[in-house]
Amino acid sequence: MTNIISTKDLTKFYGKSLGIEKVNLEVQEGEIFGFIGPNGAGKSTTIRTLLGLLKPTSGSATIFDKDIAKHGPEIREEIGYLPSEVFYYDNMRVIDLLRYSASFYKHKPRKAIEDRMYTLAKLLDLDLKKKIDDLSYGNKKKVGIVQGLQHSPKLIILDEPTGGLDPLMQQTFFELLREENKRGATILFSSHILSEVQKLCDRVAIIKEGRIIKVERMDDLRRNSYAKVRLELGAPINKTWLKHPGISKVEVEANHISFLYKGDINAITKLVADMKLISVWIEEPELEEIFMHYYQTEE
Amino acid sequence: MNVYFQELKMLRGTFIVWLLALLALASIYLSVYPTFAKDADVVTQALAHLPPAVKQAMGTGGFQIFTFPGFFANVLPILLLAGGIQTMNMGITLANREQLAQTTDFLISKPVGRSRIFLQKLLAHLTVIFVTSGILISYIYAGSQMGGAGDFSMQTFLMIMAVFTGIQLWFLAVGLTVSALVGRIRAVVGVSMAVVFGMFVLSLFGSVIGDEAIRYVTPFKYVDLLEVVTSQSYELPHIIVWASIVIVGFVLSWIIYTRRDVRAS
Repeated sequence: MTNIISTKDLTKFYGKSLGIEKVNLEVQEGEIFGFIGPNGAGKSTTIRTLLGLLKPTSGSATIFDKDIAKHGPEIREEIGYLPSEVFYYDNMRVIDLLRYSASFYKHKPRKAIEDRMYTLAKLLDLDLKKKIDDLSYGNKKKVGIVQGLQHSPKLIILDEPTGGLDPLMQQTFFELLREENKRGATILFSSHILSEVQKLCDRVAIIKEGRIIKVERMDDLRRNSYAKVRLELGAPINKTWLKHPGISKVEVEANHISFLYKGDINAITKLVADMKLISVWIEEPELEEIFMHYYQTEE
Repeated sequence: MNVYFQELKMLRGTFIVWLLALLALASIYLSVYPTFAKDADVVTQALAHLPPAVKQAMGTGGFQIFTFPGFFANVLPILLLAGGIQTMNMGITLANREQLAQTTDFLISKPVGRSRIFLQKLLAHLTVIFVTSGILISYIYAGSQMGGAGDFSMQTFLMIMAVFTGIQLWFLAVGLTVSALVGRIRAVVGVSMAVVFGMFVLSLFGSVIGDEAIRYVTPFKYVDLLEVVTSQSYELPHIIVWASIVIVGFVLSWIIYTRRDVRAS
């Protein structure tokens, strides 16, 4: 497999404060790679460094086997970027902004970009004639999606892209990304919302406090992570079964029990099958809880 | 050249407003010129009756003061002040506008180097400056002909008016540098008014105390306009300082622009 993105000890300090430290990432051709971590963990710093918006303090990175420090403009010819917060020239009409955006991609046929622009705008239900200033935040985000995808890039970099999109539009957007991926585009998808990443990604890197803690296949991550279980019981609680392997952090409050569980979920359903239940919740853990898990295993 | 044309579009509004303001200001001066010319005629005729030896001693320059370029040399400082504020604003805004509107991400993540962005933006600003000067100078010249200014030295007139272009370039360079060094500036007009008026007051102050050093500090004093009218020449050391500040300002802001981190908003 060819690496589309490859970073080597990529480090960025803002003055004395740490942005990212010794980030080593390899994103392979054709994969959808998730990049998760809480706010301020270094996701945006990594992405902005890759895009040339920030200059790395040390370390290096290549995209399409080209050094980002030397071939920035050439590399960006094949990148589509959608930031978390989108800002465009308020006085421009959507179509003028998108044409201005298209004018930067000199090596691509203008007609193809223009056609793709109309297709995407129609798919996302975006009015091209409106002024940017008159658009809602969600519609500005759509402009961002079109300007990021209209030149059919080989690499799509998304930095927390779903904010502002309603659930229906998120779904359309994810379908669009899957199509782009099928077409051959590699996707780097950063998010702090685990469920988004779970829906879409093949592999995922977890970043915290500027360092990559883990790079794992999505399936493995899910298998290895905890489930949050909460029971509401209609009869007094017998606590002996809570010693079952894989159960931790038990909290009992009146007729509510909650605990974390790691292992085969069928074991738990069997255990509770004979209990007098009012309600059962089995939830995926919050991202923070997965981090806790990784910190515990690291220690 | 897409950034260049986009920048011109963005500058269009303020360009038109400033140009109209400058033309209005010039119109006021052009309208008082006939009165000045009438008074000047009397003095010129009186001078003409002086003995030839005295005239020779005075040089031909003495008479130049009463010509149209001489008149405009007297009123030009107010136009310089306005022109200075215009381009100081432009200089600060060149990178600042995108920073305030947070569109820097959009631009810099496109397949174009920062040097190219900067140079195309600078070129658009220079275009505005030269077009402004071109229109203003043509307008004043046309006005002089309609106002009955008669024949005068075109060279002197252009040398006087070139100071306007020079001042605009100087404040553009200083505005660029200030913005590059300080980063995001919200009170653009406040900063540029403070700097331009500061320099202007310094020039008035310098005239009063007759300090030579101040003539190297404030661009309003690089050229002694009345001296240009009489001698038809600039003073080289001041011109060198002038050009150096413009070039250093452009280069310094280019260096900062191309190397600066664009942090998330």
